[in-house]
Amino acid sequence: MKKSYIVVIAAILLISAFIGTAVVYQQQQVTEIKVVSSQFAARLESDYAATMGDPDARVTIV
Amino acid sequence: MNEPSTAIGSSPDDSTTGQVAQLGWVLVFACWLIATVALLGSLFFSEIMNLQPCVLCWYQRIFMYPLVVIFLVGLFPLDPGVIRYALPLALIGWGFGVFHYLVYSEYIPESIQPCTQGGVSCSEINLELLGFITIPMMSILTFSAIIILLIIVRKRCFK
Repeated sequence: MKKSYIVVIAAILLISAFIGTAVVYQQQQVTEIKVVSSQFAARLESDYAATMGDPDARVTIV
Repeated sequence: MNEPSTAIGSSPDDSTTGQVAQLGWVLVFACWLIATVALLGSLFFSEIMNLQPCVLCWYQRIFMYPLVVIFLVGLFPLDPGVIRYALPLALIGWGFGVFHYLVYSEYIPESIQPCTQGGVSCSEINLELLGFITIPMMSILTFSAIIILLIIVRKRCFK
């Protein structure tokens, strides 16, 4: 195999590994944040706060 | 385009020279791989994991990042000059790595650390792989591997 091919293939593999690891890591972070936020969601609700409508409805804070 | 006269392995008749050139190429390629992994790894820590590099980390980056280009250019064709240009960078980077490790390990007092004011602390341990591999240790290992490989190339291939 030509040496230039070896270098190009190695570079592609390394960059692919970098991108793949980055994607997996970021997905893990998002999952962890979702798990933590769901665990502690109840703490953010005041006992006396009235709720109405769909509990999963999208909330926009302005 | 003719290859420069300094490139070894230019005479296909000499099989020994060819083997030495092959070994030299493989070792310099290994150096390039190590430097590239270090570059991508450091970018992963800062850009993906959001670990802000301290001043000493930046000094080590300054001496690691150019190695990727120097080794790549030195591979085509294999150029003895690659050692002349890469070894000083690797040695200085290794020195900063050792200094950083000593700061990390608190052997060097806080007062002479270059990054105590304001920015990111040089001595704060924010990553430990397998419980003991810190960022300065990875830097020292990387620079050491490159230095050793370059010395082998120099002794075995470019006497």
